[in-house]
Amino acid sequence: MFEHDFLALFPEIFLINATIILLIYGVVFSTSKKYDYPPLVRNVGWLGLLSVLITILLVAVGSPLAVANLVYNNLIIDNFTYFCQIFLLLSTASTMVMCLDYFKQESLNAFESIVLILLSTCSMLFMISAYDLIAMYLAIELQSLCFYVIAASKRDSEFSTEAGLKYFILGAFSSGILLFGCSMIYGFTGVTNFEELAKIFTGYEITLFGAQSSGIFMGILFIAVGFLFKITAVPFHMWAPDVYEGSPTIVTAFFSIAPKISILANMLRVFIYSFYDPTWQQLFFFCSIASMILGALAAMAQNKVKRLLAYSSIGHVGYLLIGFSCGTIEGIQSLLIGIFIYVLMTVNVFAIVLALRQNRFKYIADLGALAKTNPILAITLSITMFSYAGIPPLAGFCSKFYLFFAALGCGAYLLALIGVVTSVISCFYYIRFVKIMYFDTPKTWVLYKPMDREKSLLLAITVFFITFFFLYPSPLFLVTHQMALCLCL
Amino acid sequence: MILFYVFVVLALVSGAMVIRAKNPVHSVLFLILVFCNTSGLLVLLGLDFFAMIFLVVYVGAIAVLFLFVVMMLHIRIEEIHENVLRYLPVGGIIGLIFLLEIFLMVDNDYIPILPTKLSATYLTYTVYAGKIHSWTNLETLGNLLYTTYFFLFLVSSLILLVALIGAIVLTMHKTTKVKRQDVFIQNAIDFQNTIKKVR
Amino acid sequence: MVTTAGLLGAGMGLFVQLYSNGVRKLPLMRHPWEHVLAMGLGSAFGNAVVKWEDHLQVQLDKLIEDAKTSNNKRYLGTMRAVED
Repeated sequence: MFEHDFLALFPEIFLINATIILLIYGVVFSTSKKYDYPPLVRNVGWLGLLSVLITILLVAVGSPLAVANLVYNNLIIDNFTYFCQIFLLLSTASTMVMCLDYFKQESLNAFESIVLILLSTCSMLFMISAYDLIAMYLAIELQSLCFYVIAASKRDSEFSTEAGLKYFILGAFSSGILLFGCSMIYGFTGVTNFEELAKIFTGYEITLFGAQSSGIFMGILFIAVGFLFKITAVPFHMWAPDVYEGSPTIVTAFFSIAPKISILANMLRVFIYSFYDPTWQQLFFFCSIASMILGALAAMAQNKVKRLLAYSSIGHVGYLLIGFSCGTIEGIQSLLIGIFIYVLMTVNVFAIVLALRQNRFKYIADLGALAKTNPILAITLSITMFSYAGIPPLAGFCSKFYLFFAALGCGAYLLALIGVVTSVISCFYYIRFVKIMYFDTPKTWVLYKPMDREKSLLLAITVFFITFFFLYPSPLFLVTHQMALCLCL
Repeated sequence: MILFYVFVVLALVSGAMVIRAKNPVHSVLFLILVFCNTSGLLVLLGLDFFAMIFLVVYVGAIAVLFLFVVMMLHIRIEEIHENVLRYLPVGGIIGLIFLLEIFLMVDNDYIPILPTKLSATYLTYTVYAGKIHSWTNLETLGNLLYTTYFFLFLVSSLILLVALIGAIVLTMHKTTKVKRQDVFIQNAIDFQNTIKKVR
Repeated sequence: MVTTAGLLGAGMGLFVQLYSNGVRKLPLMRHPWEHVLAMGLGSAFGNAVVKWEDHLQVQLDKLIEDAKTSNNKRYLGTMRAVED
């Protein structure tokens, strides 16, 4: 127990402790009269970034502990969780890099939101490695509670408050559905551990009609619906555009990057590992088609940047669900590649959105003549938009290509067909960005402040990877193959 | 058995009174009575811990919250003179469906898929009466919660921490305009010097 | 020890630094030592990635081999006994 479990859990323990120390530091010093009530956001931000980086190191060093069930089968560590955790921490670190400058510009003196981001990161680590229904539910709940608060963290803005409230109500609803599903599963099998569930469900067919137990079917259905709520797949997406638009931009960036990784990892663990079955496949099939179509069509009517990005993320969730509903090793592998590239592109786009702000970069039309004022940034944004749309040599093309290939490989021709058609449609609004930047003459010329160093480095690295990914993709393939095998064998 | 009937009858009657009471405050008070009776039923079932939690959570937190809300909203009594029978069809149908579902669930066999084809010849006779180590619910829960499930316990404590931070973040104003009391200064105030007679 | 991976990594580091200066509208070669630092980090990264890839390949082959043997043991064990 003590020599293995706590050693393996050391990154998480470190992150929690660092967060709590940061919280105490902030509470003590931001209320001290002696230092004239310092805002502390920058200090806490840098220290938080540092602790996330150290956690990455700790996770990376912990690799010799290859496979282990921890704390009485509540958590698991294997290659899948190992790479997912590193990836999640990297994306959180990039969000924190973006937020360093943001809080200063907004004069938003809330170091608590950084503390909450760290806490939710920690909960997402637990979520990735959860191996029990209760542990999974608690991790999800911890994460969503953090999210409700940081969505509403900009209190003087009505939009932010509205976003927080909306997110809270719908999120609580979906958590309830998820919990109901878990209790159904527990009630009809008497087991909450994923491994035992997997053993029970091998060779057991859960069909809708003529089922041996409709309770299990209902339980799986409810769990699936709860998860689809959380990753904003289509029939359950209504909250996403409002929440993404209303919450502060940095929070939007965090929402559209980090939880996608952790929740998809958890879904893979639950559905591929435990409930491997064709029943949920139809559900995900439908959701995938619906979210691809809605992501492509609804985004066309949007004028606001954040709303458009929200719809685009819904569309991308649809593409990722293609890989999910295949259920084959290739499908899982392409899903993991897809989410890696999606996160790269999203980090890039949000770094640009956060960099372009004189007062507020809200409408797409504000981009006019960016090609003249900052040509390099304009090229970057157009590269990213082409990559989102899936134009060949860029990274976005690779991810979509493998997803469609996996769909063809398992015989889901309809999915691949609709995917191709919707990505052609979505080209329209992605390329509209490029058109506005290069060919529109704006009524008022907008000069943006130069961005800070951290964000420019982040942009440089992501652009490099997006552009040259196709030259050297083999490490990513090997990693994802290993992760997928780890889940399936 | 008499106790059971007492609790059931009281719970049902006060449940009806929750709906029928004209005054919302009375209705909340009846709700508290319902909770007390159901926790009595839980005690009769041998679920002492659940009864305790039921009282603490529902009566201690939720019902008091309701009371506060009702008192603050200050609903007048005359407004609630609506015809109850209007809601009877819809409510009745929903209630019937709910009852039906509960019967379906109760009828369903729990743990159905594990194969349990035991032939009687392998069964041996054990006197279980001698093997009973009687633990109360509280002891069992404590033993499990602090050993096997300590991780879940810790994560729930983190959830509570987040709730605390969230409540503070969302409500505390850090501007200079807010009047705030300084605990130390208030404690240090000398009673003799607070009120002075001015001649 | 100059490898292609190291060179490409150094190129990446240089690109990152140049881009970072360019997008902030600073002179491209401001603080040349930063470029050198970035190139060094980039080449280290490139070498690390190549080494990591080899390591991954070995691990993956071992994983597949293990799965194959255990599957064989599970399903084909009786058949092999007949062959022998």
